[in-house]
Amino acid sequence: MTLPPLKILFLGAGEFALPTLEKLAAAIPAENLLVVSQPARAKGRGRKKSPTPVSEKAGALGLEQFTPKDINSPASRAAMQDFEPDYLVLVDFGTRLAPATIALPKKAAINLHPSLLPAFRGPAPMAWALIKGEPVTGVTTQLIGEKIDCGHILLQDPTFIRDHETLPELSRRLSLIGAPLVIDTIEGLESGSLEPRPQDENLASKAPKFKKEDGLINWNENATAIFNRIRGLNPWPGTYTFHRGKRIKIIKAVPAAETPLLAPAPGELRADGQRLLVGCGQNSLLEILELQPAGKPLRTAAQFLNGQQLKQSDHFSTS
Amino acid sequence: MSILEIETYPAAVLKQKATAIENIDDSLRELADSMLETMYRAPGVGLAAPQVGRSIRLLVADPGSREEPEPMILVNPKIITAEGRTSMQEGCLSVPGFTAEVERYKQIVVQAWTLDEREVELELEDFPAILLQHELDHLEGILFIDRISRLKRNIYERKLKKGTLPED
Ligand SMILES: [Zn+2]
Repeated sequence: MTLPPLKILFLGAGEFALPTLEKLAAAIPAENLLVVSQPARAKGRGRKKSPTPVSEKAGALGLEQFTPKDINSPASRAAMQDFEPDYLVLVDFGTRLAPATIALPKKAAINLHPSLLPAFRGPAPMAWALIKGEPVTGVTTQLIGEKIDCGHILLQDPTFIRDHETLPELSRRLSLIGAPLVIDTIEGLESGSLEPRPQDENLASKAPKFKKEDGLINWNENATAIFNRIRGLNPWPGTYTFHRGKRIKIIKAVPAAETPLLAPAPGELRADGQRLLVGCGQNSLLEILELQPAGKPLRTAAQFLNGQQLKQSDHFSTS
Repeated sequence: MSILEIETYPAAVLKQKATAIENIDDSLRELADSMLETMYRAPGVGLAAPQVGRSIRLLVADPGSREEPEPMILVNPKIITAEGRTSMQEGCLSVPGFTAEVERYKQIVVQAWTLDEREVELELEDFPAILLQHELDHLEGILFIDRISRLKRNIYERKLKKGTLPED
């Protein structure tokens, strides 16, 4: 007797989903993998239609794909039902699934979520982990339920957040840790060695989407908190402040090592050679590394300082 | 040990009732070893002697996982009790490129001989029970496609004729 190879319906869109898709494509025959993503969309000023990163990768790997306008329509569901999937694997998909879509696979619908659930449920878990200054985060595979990110936990893999790690760096790292976890999860479910366990509601926290305004820096916060916000919100929605009434993006910064006797007031700028320092709350200092005035190219702190004479009264402010 | 050639449908040997084994000797042990190797290589989870062209009552199977294999070799196996119903999607090395849901007993007790000439009784449930029923069928000249609906079987026969089955 032979066991029929597993059929997997893979739903994904963004870069974060790519390592898992590659791992799955290496593990099962191509005809047993159906990739579902959103249709190509016009992006940027060129208005050229571009496929999602997952759709592009599926093309490169020669995998069959399905890119319906509405994933939850009866016609889409019928098409996916015809494939008779054993598992539905959802990673960085960005579209909510209807209960009937979740119920499609014969065995289980699973999701890879980039936090240690029940912490940081929602669409921006990595940004929140950085902003909150968490020492540790990780990845979780969960059963997909009707309430987003509240499903039973299957497997988790924790990792320390690195000292100056930024959102794109953390995202890349967790996507690589997550891919083998998805494989282990499917194997664990297959062999029956994996026992799904409910999340502890008492430990739950949320990770809602950010708005542009969340990027406005409050210089009364201490330098570490501001630094965490900068590394958590770049490149999107980005962090910004105002200088001489003009909006300026703060792209990269680090808390300054020194604690001056007379720290500048919150928001006050100070040049130290080629270094650009800003006073923050609790007598702390932030060193700005990269910034971008509205409508201008990105600049290093040195380029910024060379471009203008800092005055005594120069400061960053919230308007 | 060696890799054996697997007979595929509609080979005549697959339709025959296999004969009982009277002597457990080294040549039988070697055949069993080769069958296990052939099965793992395929890969499959069970293989009966008729599938390698030998119409005798010998089967090998492994209901374990890749991390924890549980190989078994059974001589002259037979079901002594069976109850309950269950089903799963089955495939067969002798029926390549086709799988179907097959109804089976949920629990069985199998009596058999091992290669060291011990008589054993195995109580099996769910997947291991299904697996052994599939292999025991081979010893009776029955394939899993004999146990599915006429309609599903026709689909397979048509694919076979048109040559649209995937090549291995
Ligand atoms: Zn078979």
